Amino acid sequence: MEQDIFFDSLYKLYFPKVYRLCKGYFNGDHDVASDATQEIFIKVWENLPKFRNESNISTWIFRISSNTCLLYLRKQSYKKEVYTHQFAEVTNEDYSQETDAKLVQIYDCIQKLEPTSKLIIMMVLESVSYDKIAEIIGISDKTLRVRIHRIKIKLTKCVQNGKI
Amino acid sequence: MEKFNEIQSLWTKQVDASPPQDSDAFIKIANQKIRSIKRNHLQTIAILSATSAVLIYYYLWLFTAAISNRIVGLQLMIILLVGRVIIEIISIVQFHKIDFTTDFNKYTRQLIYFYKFRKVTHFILTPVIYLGYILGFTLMLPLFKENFSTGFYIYVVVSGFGFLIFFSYYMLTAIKQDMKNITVLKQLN
Repeated sequence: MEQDIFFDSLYKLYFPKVYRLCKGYFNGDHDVASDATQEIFIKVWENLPKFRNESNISTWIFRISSNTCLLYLRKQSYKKEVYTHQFAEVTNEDYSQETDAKLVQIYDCIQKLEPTSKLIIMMVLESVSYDKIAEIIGISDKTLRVRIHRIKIKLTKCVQNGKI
Repeated sequence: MEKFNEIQSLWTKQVDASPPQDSDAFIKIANQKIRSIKRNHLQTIAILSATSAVLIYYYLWLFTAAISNRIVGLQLMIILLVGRVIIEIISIVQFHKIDFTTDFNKYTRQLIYFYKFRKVTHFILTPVIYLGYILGFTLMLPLFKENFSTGFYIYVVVSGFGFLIFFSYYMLTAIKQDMKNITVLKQLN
């Protein structure tokens, strides 16, 4: 019962973050992102009793998410196009067409990054702290900071000009 | 949208990322899936183990039979099939041992190690097993011809080689997929 309550809080807090991470990873494909998110939370639920607080719970969940998305790449044929038609159903009513277009452009630019950079920048977009990202990816804090700086420049330029 | 902060603000505004069901409903689905995955995993291992056991039993029976010197080909086919099944069991167990809660770089290295094992299997062990199996089957043909009617003999030859062609196609597809996976993983490492 205690585990159910704990899982409930994790599910509510992390589902949107994990879903957006997966969606970014799979070029905005809602169906694949939903399936991957479900698989991630099944793993979280199944392995929660084994979680020993050796790392932070968010680090643990993002590690499972990154690794599961990588496994999904194995299952899926790697599609390069952005799933623009799926934005309408996933955005807020307040959204303008311009906002939709910008989101499409962001997804498109994220796809142009190399896979690890893609994961890193999506965690930055989700406001995951740098020390946690370093733990999730398995690189030093210093290397990560340099890398994030470069990716941010690349992404911003791409969103402005459409090129990396 | 000139600044990174604006990109970030837009990113987090995608709202419909809320869960499609509450956690209680999700836990029910999760428990069902976990049971189903475990059952499938056990079934695969059980089928492969049972296949090996039957083949080993059959081999031992043939080995002690008086005709054993005439069925070397069949014995060779059985040994190679058992070998291939054992390799497949090792492969499944190895894949399930990969720790998905570790960091991304370590996880990638584990997957690369796993696919290297698959590569050795595909490019060294499988061809040896495949050729050995063909040799075993070919060695059996004179005995089949001697003991079967012409019609049944033709059926055995056609279905035997037909199976080998089908199996080659299946193996080539699996090898192609594994090689694609290694390429993706190497880009990450």
